[in-house]
Amino acid sequence: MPTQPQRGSEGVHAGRRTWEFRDVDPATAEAELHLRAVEVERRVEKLESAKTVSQDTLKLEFRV
Amino acid sequence: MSNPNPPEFLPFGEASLFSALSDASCSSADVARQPRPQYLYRYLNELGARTIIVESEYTDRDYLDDYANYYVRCFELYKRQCKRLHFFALDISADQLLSVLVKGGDPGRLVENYLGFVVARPLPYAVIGRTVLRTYPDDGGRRSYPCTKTYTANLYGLDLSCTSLAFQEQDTVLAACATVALWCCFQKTADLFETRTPTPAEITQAANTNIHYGRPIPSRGLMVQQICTAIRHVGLEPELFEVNEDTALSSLMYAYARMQLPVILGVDVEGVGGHALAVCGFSRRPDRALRQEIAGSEFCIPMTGLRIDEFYAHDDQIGPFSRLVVHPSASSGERVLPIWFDGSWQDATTGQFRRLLPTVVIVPVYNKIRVTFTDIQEWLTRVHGALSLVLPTDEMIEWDVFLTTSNEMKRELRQEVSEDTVRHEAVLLRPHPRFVWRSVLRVGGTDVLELLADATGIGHAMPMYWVFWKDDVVRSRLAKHVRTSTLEGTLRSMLGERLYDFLLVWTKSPSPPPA
Repeated sequence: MPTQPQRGSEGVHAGRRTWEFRDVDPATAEAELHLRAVEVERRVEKLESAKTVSQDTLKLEFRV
Repeated sequence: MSNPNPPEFLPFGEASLFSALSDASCSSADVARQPRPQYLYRYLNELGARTIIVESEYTDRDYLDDYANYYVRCFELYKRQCKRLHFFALDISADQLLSVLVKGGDPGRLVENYLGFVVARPLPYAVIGRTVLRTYPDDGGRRSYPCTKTYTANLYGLDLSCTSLAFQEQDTVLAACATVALWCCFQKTADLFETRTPTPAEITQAANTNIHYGRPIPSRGLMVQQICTAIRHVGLEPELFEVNEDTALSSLMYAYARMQLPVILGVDVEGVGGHALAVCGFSRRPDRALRQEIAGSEFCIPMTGLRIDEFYAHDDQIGPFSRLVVHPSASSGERVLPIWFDGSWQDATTGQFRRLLPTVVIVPVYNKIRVTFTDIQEWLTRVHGALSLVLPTDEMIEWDVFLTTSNEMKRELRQEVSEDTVRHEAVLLRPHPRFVWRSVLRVGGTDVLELLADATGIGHAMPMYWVFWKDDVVRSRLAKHVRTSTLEGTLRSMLGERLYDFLLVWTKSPSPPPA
């Protein structure tokens, strides 16, 4: 069902959408979700490890 | 009685600007050789400057502090007072100004055409003191300068306003690049959080409170640790991000700058060394400027950073609002960069732009802002994983993630036209945390949902507390998947128990669940 016209968060008139959301069956959803979960887990792990700032970074100098 | 220090009226031009900036300590020819005055000429020319009014014997608070801390004790005599150059985008004569000042003339045209001012310091080099200049026009909404504020200059009793962020060049004695970047940031944080605006000398002294490798003054630059110390000294907290190949750097800087918080960007200027800038604006294209925001082909949720093609930064070696053009991932020695910049630093021998390789981002935040952009990105990565079952694969999908205040958020939500007044009312009338992370999911240019997260909470404990369904189809389709028994195990593991339960509750009905 197309959306009602509304002004979006960027302040522009978004208008009616011309595309459709996906409607996948449970079996397809299950297969896709398993693959997606692996990607998500890997990305979250990387983001988590990036929170630790190294000693080298703390000692970076800005002299120019 | 005649005025001993009458204002000087000069038609704007390269020679007149350099002459007005010069002093007994620094000739017009010396000024003309320096890159910052050259940049200012180009910048003001672009803004359409026509007249310079020079206010002589101007006492500048920041220079006065530098003077008291250093220059007064030099054997060489340096002046205590500066000149202040005011710029207008129209021709003005002394008679016209006097008619406004003392004969009740209409100041409208003067006020409208005011471009800002530059304080000229009476030093042998680094003559550009506190500088407040109007930004470039927004170019149809492409350019944004959120980290600005309104400055009012009083010219002989006439109030002249300018929206900008103050800039100055480093004098290499009391301030190096990082000190100036901090000084610029503190101008805006004072506006946002009512914190102090220390002078460059005070910042350098504060930065060297705990860690110092040699004398702090004359200053030879600051380390990341020292920048953090200087930020704590004004009552703020340094949010520190190391830039590596997986850093969604454009989206990160945008997320804080969108809240009007200037961001300190540390870069390695290729072939020159470490340098710090204060990022205060960005340019968003309607379409993507980058295919991928991080290095390689790893999965990263698509965010607004993909549409940013330029940032604008106060670079004390270049000038105010200098351009940083965004380029896709590249290598530099052993480092793989998510993006890199160029646009301002030129190699004098080859004429080529030098690469600016990002190393670190430091954001001076209010102590109650505890949940970081990285925390929010983690939660959104999980949400995006679940939404991938619902979202179209052939449309431009974008998460617009930014920090804001509850007051600003309500102000913006009120502007949005919505047929769903009940849910609008629900979100506007309820109390919110003082600082909020807003994450708007946009598909093919249309907002489909928005998640609100408590920025004052705990990053690891699920900070999302509100969903604004802007298209009910996304809610109903997601509701079906989160209630499918064969998907529950994978969804619980991918989302985490708290986020899964949150979605279970919030997808139940288009209306917010009962409190």
